Amino acid sequence: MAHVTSQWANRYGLPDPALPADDLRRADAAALRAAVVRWEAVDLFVGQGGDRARNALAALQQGWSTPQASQAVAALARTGDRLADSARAAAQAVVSLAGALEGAHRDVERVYAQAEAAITAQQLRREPIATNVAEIATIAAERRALVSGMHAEVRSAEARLEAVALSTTHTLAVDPRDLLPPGVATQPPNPGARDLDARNRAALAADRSSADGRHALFARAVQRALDEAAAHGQVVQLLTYDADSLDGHGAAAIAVGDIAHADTVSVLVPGVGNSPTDMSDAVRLSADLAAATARSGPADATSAAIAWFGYDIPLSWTADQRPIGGRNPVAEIIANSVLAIDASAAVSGAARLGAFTREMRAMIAPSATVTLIGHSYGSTVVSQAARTMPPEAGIDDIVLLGSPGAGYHVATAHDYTAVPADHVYTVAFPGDPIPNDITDLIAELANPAGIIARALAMGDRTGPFGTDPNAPSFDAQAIMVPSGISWNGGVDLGQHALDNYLSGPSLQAVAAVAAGRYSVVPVRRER
Amino acid sequence: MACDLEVDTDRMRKASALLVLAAECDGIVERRYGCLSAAGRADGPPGFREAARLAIVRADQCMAAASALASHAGRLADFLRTAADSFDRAEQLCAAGG
Repeated sequence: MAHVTSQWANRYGLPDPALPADDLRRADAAALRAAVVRWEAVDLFVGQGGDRARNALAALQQGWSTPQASQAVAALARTGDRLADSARAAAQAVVSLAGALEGAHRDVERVYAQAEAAITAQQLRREPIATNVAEIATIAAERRALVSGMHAEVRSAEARLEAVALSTTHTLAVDPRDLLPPGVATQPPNPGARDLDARNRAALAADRSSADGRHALFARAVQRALDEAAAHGQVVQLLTYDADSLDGHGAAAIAVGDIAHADTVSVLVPGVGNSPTDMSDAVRLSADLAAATARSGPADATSAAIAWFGYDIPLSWTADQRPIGGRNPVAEIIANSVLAIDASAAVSGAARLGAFTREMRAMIAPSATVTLIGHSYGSTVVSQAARTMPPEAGIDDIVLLGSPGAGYHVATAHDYTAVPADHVYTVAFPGDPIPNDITDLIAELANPAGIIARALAMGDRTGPFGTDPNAPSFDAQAIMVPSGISWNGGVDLGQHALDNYLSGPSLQAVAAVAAGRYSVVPVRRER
Repeated sequence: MACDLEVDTDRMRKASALLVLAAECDGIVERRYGCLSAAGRADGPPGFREAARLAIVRADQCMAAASALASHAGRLADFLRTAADSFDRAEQLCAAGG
C-alpha cells in the first residue's frame, strides 16, 4: 500500500520519495554475493596452486639447469599470484558495494520511520477545517517540507550507493583473462557457431544452383546480405538459413561479429513488412549497433549483433524479392497480412526466438551478455519471449523500439520472467504514430471479432497489441532521446523507421544498454 | 664411455607432480562453481546495476582465467614428465654404449 507521503507528493506536485526508495529496496545483493564466492574461491585455490608451482620451481631448479623450463614455471606461479590478487581486490570492492547497499536500505527505512514519527507528532494526517485558511496553509507547508526532506534524504542515500558502485566499476575495469601470459589461452571458442555457419552456407550454395526458382532467389538475396555485412570488415556468420520454413516465407539470421568471441551479443528483431530476402538495412544497422556497443563498453570489449528474421513476419510479402509462392498466392497474401492485426504472430514468433536464443547461448562465451532488441512488431515478439523465457535463459536486457504494444498478459515490466523490470528499456519518439493508441484503433476496426477471440483464447482484454510499454504505468526504463527526424506534429511514418531508432542518440543509448553501461543511459526519472 | 647428462630426473618428476597438484587447485574453481552470467541480474539504481552486471561478468571471466591456468599447468607437468623420461632413456642408451 502506498505511503501517505506519496499521496501528499501527488497532491502538492512534489517528487515522490517512494520512487527512489522503491528503486533502492528492489536492489538486492544476491548476484554480488555469488560473485564474491567465486572470487574468494579463485583467491584460495589459485593461491594454493601458486604455492605448489613455486615448490615445483624449487625442485626443477635443483633437477634441471636449463633456464627455459624454470622460467615457464616461474611465470605460471606469478600469474597465479596476480590472478589471486585481482580476485581478492574484486571481492573486497564488491563486499563494500554490498555493504553500501545494506546501508542504503537502512537509510530508506530510517527516513520512513522518522517520517511516521513526525506525522504523528505534528498530527499531519488530520484534515483541516475547510474554512480555516491559516490551518490549511500550515498543514500543507508542514507536509510539503516533510515530503521534500524525505525525497532529498532518499536521493542522498541513492547517491552514496551510486558513488560506491562507480568505484567498484573502476576496480573491475580489467578483464582477468588479460592477466594470462601470452600463449596461455582461455577455453577455445565453442566451434558451434562456426560449424553452423558452414552448414548454412553449404545449404545456401546448394540453393543458389537449385532448379527451384524460389530457392535460388532466396539464396541469392541472403548471399547479397552476407556480402553487404562482410563489407563492414567483421566476421559474418549465417546462423539461420531455411528457404522453406514459415509457409515458404523463409527464415534467416546473420551475425555481424563473431558470436563465439563476443563479450556482448545483441539480437535485432525487425517488424512488419520485412523479409529475409531483403536484409540489407538490418545487417547494416546490426553492424552499426555492434560497433557502437563495442565503443560503449570497456576498451578491449568485443561485440556482435544478429539480424534475426526467424519468425513469420506479418506483411513480409510486401518486401519479398520473390514472386508470391504457394498454390494460391492471393490466399497467401491475405494470410500473411492478417498476421499484422494483432499480437498472435508474436506469440509463435516468441517461441521461435526463445529456441534460437537457447541455441545461440550455447555457442557464445558463458560470460557474454545478451540483449534482445525488437523494433515495431518485433518488439512485441521480444516482449512475448521475455514473458515466457525463464530467468536462467541468459537474457540480460530487452529493448523495445517504437512498440505498438507488449502483447498478451504483460501489464507491466514486472510481468517478465526472463529479466527484472529494471532491465526492460523502451524508446518511443513522440512523433512516431505506431506506439500511439491509433495503431490499436485501426487494428480493432480491421478485426472487431478479434476482441472476443482474444478474450476467449488468451483471456486478455488489453487490445490487439497489448499494453503500451512506454507508458509510465508500465514501469520500464523509458529512454528519453530526441528523434533524428524533425517532427511537425502530423502523422509521420518516417519517425517510426528502424533507421531512425538505430541512429544518433537513440543508437548510442541502445548500445549503452547492450554494453551494460546503464549509468549513461538517459531514462525518464521518477518512473 | 661414462655418461652424465647432469639432470636429476627424480626432481623433475617431483616438479611435474607438484604442477599436477597446482593444475588441480586452479581447475577446481570452475568445476565447483557454475557460470553466473546466465542467471545473475540485479534490479536497482543504474550505477548499482552496472556494477553488479560487471561483477558477474568479471567473476565468470576470472574462473575462465583460472581454468586456463590449470590447463597450462597441466601441459607444463606433462612436458616435464616427458622430458624426464627422455633423459632416463638417453642415459640408459649412453650407459649401454649405444
